[in-house]
Amino acid sequence: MADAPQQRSPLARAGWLVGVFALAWIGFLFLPMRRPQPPESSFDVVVPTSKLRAVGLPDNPDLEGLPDFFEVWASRAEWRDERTEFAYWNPAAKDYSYTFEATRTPEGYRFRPIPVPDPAKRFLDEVIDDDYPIRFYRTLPDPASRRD
Amino acid sequence: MSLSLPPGGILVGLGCDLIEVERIRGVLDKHGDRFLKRVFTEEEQVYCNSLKYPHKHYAARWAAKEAVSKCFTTGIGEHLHWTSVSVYHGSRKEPLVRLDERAGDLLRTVGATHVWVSLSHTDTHAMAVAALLKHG
Repeated sequence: MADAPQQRSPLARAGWLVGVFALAWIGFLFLPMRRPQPPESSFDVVVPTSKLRAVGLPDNPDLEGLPDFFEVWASRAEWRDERTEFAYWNPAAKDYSYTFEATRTPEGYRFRPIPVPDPAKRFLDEVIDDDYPIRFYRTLPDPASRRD
Repeated sequence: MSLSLPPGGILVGLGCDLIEVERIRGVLDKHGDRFLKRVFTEEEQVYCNSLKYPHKHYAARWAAKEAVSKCFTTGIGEHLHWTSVSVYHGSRKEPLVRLDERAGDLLRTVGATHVWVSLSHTDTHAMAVAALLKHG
């Protein structure tokens, strides 16, 4: 003889209903909310280039005065293919340990840090005079070393 | 005649500089405005431009800035910008130095209280001597 199906009590059915509603509510709470997005920028962000970087120099505060010193003393340089090399005074090291190549362009001077040249490479001003902030290297062949 | 000079003091730093005025004239001719704005203060530009040969006076002020930077042994850089030192004139036309906040800090750091300068120029050269003194 088959058993008659068990009838659930109304109280148990109500408990089930409450449970289902509670789960639905919790699920609703955890649904990913669509947050308002900021409007897309309609302009490009311009990162200002420092005065030094604009002429090819690293952002080193010691070099702050270099472009102006260079402009004043550039006529002492020997230029080869619009380029010259020079050493700049390093106040912390108290020597000319900053070394650069300068390029002459119609827009002005551009600079590029270079390794300290070979010690045999001669300065234009052979008489040591550390009063100058800039010392130019000889970039043209030394007339004394030419062979006829 | 009444003269009042600073009452002595301790010499903390000394510097001098000499420059050919032609160098400054060359840069002024080539890069005029940009160079002026970077190197000289507004009051220096007004003063020099009011004179017959501005480049000579600019050269003397360039020398003054260099001389002051030598007093401090810093050169022109992080602690002292070109425009940190501004030369102006006192009641007897004596040159005086105005320092900006950055240079003022430097002055206190080295233990000085005053900067004195003396300028001179000929047709071809300009020079300046600067001294840092501790008064009082």
